[in-house]
Amino acid sequence: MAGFEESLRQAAIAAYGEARAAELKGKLAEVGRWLELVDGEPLDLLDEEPDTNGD
Amino acid sequence: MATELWEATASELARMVRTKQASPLEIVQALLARIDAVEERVQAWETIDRDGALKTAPDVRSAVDLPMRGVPVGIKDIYLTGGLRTTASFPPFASFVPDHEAEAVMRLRRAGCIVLGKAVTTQFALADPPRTRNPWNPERTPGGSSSGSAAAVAARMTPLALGSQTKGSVLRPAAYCGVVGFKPTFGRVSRRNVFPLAWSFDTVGWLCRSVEDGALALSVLAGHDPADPSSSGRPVDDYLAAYEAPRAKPPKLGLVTDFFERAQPGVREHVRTTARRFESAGAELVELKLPLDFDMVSAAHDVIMHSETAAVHRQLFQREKDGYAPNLRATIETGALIPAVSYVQAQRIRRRFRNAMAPVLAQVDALLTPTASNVAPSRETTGDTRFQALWTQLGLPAISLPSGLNEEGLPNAVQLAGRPFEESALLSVARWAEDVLGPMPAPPL
Repeated sequence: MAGFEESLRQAAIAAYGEARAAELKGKLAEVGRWLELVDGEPLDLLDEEPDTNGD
Repeated sequence: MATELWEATASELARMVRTKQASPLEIVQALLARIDAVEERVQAWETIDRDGALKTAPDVRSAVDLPMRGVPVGIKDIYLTGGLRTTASFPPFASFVPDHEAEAVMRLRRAGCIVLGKAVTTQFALADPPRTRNPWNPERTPGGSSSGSAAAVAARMTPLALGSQTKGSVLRPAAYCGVVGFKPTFGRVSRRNVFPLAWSFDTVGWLCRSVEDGALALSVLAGHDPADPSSSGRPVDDYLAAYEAPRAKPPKLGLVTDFFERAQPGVREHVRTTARRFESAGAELVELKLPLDFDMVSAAHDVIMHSETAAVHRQLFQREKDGYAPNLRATIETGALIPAVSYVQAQRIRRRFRNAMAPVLAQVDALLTPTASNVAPSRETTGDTRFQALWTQLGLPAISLPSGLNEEGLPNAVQLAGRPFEESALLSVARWAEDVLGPMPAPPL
């Protein structure tokens, strides 16, 4: 989790500066948790194409 | 049956006009008087089009065979309305008057509806708290993002209002305000000329006070729009006939246990009790589990939504950063940092979730859950989106029904979800459930 959160924090500093990155700290941690959950889901190499709303 | 015109549902008003018990002008005058009486306490409207509504009403009276002739509607302020201010609660758009209109609004007008005005939205339909108050308790949120739409319908300022749902922005405000919220299948209703938030999820929906009104609005709004790339070409049902047809037997309902585990105790107990009422009325109940982890698919939704919101707003944000509300600004800034690979993985998870849910949905007539994990919380938030978002993620049709008041006098609600493009079946179940639940009282305004 810290991996995603830290990479997001570094990206935020580069994009918005230290002060804004600090203001976004809680949100960055939240997004980091989501990325960790998504990244941890095993996906099938052949069958799992991105969704297009099923119609 | 309503005793005052402003108390009537959309279907009741349409019948009154057809049978000449009331004229569209009398109806508009009654609703405008109601707005004058309660709007200061509710603050549901961004723009009230008093002159436009009064001017339109006599014209509508002369029309024939329109299914919603003389029915007033409110329009969430992210729908473009020709000649009528459309702000999205975004200060740089405070004076924006479009010269064209959302397809959904045009369809309502063609059906005979009279636009009363624009209902308050959270900024661009995200989650920055609105000024609108919950008609049941002014210290509580009406929910969002269709805040004004839900509050106006609950406060009897309009019988029907368009909303939109990207996570839970129709069904949650409906639940918090004690009204019906309906979201059709993704692609069933055109979203052309509605400000987007996240293309994978944005869905037109509406707030009303009966299942019949939900069916009536769908009968007018559903159908292919070749100018909307997300619009489905699948055939449209006769939704009013489906609503009116008696059920052969009570429905089979699937209680999704993952939701109950995450609900606040009072909500959990209420919906369990409501399910037992349904069972006593003949419904068959089965307990079901989500085929994927609740928190993981919720995370996938958030990753997709943040990424797409950042893309939607990228250029406008660069020009008008100071006009953005704090929550939306943070969403755009953090969404822009999400790796493309994570976005694609989240869409793959959505595919897996959709495929895995198909056999679950096939077991029952509808899924039954609490609409939200809680009743309306305080106004610093627009509430908990998680219980509505999963069905939005899959584009499933869903409806929230008010199910009484809790010990604090705040509305409870249940959510029913059906199979894609099977709105008729869902409406049939919802009508049955509505009959079991009985009438919902009006808020004490």
